[in-house]
Amino acid sequence: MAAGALFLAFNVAPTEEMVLIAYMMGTWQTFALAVASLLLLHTFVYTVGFDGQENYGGGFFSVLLRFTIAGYAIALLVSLYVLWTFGRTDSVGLFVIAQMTIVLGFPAALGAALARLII
Amino acid sequence: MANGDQPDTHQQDLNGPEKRKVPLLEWIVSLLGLVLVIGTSGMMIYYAFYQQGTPPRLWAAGHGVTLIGDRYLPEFTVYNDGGASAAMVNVAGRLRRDENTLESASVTFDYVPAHSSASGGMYFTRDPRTHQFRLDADAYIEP
Repeated sequence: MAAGALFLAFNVAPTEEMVLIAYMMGTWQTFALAVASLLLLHTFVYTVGFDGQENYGGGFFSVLLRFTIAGYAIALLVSLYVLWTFGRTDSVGLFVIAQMTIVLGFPAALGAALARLII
Repeated sequence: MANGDQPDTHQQDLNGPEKRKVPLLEWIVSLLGLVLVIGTSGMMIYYAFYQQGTPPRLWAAGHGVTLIGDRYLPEFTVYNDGGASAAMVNVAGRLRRDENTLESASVTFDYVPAHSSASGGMYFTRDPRTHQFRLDADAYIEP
């Protein structure tokens, strides 16, 4: 999942669009994007019947905690690393860093979901 | 051919797959991930309630003058203490003596995010240390 997140995040992180989107989005919009990223990750990988899915067993909340949330956390960490690599976190407040991380975390979560299905 | 010697795989399938015990390390990593996700989301919610809507508060401060060739370079940092990001932030520098403006220059920053800063400099032919030197962050637009 980290490889998939890194693959997509590296493509979009050097551009200005990720940063501009973060600056233009309100805090509630950013929070909604985080929720949407989680739902996207869970739906793609563990709910919809794509090829490559496995039956992980356990209840809904067990799969959500052990796989979806852990996978999204990996996507967030990868996003933060990529932002730091490209100097986007220099002289920037912690809140804005979190906002940029969540914005970049959306394509990173998509990449993580696709990697989970393909690999 | 006798089938009695064959293992009863059908019966094994009916029993279902053996329930996998989740390792402790998996739970630990999952909980760390949950802490990270809740912490990030919680920060968004906190700022939504306490910082949303405050406009940019821009101000600039100099921190040293360097002689570059035959020109002087005062370097400065512009700060945004407000809750909103600012774009196209203009910082004007003026060298004055009494009421007269002897020299002026300006710098435009693409973005100065909320609770963040950006640094720059501007060149003058006169030494800012021997004149009245004023820095003003005097304009911005919303991103």
